[in-house]
Amino acid sequence: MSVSELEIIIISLRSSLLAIFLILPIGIIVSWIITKTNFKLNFLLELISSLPLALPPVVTGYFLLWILGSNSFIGKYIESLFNYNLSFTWIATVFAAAIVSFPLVVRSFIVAFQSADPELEKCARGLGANNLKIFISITLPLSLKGIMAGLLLGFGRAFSEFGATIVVAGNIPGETSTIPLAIYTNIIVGDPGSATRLIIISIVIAIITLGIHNNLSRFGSYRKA
Amino acid sequence: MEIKFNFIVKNGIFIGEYKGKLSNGITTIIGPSGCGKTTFLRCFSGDLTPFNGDIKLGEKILFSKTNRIDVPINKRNVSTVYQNHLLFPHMKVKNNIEYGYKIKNRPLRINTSEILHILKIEHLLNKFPHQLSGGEAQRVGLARAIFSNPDILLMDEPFTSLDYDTKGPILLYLKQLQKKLNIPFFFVTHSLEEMYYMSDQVILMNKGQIISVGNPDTIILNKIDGISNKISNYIHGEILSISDEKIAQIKIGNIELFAPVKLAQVGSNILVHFFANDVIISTSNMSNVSARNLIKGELIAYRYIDTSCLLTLLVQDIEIYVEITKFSMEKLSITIGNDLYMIIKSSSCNVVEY
Repeated sequence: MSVSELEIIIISLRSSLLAIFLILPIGIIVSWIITKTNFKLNFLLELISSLPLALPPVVTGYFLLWILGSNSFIGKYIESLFNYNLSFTWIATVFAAAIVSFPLVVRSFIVAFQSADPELEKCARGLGANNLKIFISITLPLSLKGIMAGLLLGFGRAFSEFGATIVVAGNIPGETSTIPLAIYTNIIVGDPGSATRLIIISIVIAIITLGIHNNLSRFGSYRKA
Repeated sequence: MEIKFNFIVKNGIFIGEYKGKLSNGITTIIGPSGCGKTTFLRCFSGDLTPFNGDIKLGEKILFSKTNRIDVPINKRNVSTVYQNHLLFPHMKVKNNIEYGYKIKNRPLRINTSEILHILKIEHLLNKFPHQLSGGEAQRVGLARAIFSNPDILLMDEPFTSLDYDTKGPILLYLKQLQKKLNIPFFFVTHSLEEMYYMSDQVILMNKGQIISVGNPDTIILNKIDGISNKISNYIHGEILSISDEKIAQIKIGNIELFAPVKLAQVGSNILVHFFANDVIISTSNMSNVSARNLIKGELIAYRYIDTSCLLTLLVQDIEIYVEITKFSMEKLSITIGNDLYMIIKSSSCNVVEY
């Protein structure tokens, strides 16, 4: 395995892991609002958070480019603040991975939160607990395995991300070239050796991720008394 | 503490109208399924909001439509013991019990070790809920509610799923606890037995309305269908000896009773349980009967429930309930103050260890 291949693996792992860390708190808040509150606009929140699941990743990437690019309001603001444009940087790969995996993570979190018995939450409230205490002491521990499973699924999706990344971050070797992008390049330029090695790495990481995910789901809940 | 309430609540198609004034002690709420007992409790816990009216607990207003007061559930200081106990499955018994106590951080009215001792759960503190039996889980649920130091304790048919062996001791503990804590207990049941055993006062409900409020001996229960009318006796005793046939000789005050045992040892304190309708009454002392238990008692009260009559007999200082038919009552022509003989087959008795 060459140094550049190792670099590609590191870029991929970095963007996937950072993407997961980025969506963990947002995913928890969004899922909690959807499952535990009765706001009228919850359906809209659920729709928007699921949208990247149904959209072609290229379209998601295009929107992201539109938001982060130097012509948009947000892009301009960030550029004026840090003198730095986020599009076509390694940070853009993190955003791309985060957005495409967000729906899967939120869906898993919703299922996990729904599996926490609302009667137990009601009981905790009767014993004096407020919303935050109920969430930390009851909902979260009861859904912990579901949350872990959701993060693993999200990681798997982030790791395999291609379409949105190539649009918003390009395919810059040593900077934004993740494993899927590098495999694509290697196939195009005719380097089957490198492509094969990266494919094997992808398969191994996918098997490990899904293996842990499936086992977590299987032993997902606490035994009821 | 006086509890005053006057409210209307809508829950789906159900409409309940409740009005009354209750004093401290154990209040049993009895009535057939679907009569609105649980709905009534849920309005006190804050789980349901009345359509209008008000609920007052001593000086504290829990709900008042006119004053726009609806104290949030977690600020009400009202604890509930549920039928399915709802212990937190990811916490050990100790953490379950401390849950409400730690949040409220108010000094307890009674000693913590005393509650654990009365409820006999000291040895369970490091177990998880799934490792407990039904009776143990229910006692832990009760301890958790009491440790949260409530102003009122609500119990929604907490013992329906328990058998007589498990239920008897818990009912005893509850009575002791209420006296120590000196807070009102609301106890929902559809069992006459639990009502007689537990209550200082009774609310009789039917079809979303309070039919009457009174003490267990005066309340009129006729014509209410769907109330379980198996009435039990639970009597404290001590095992003096056990025969080869596993029949225990049990000392109850100055009298003796014979009942079959399974695991109980000589010297252990037990409860003897038998149903009120398993007792035969005689006005004279019959020496030649096959039943082993012949106990003399004085009739101190009786009341008719539909076609049967419930007698209360006093044996020393123990009250024993006996249920006979209205026909037998009239045939025997007995009155208050008569000495009667109770015939109880030993096989009708059940020994409960606690």
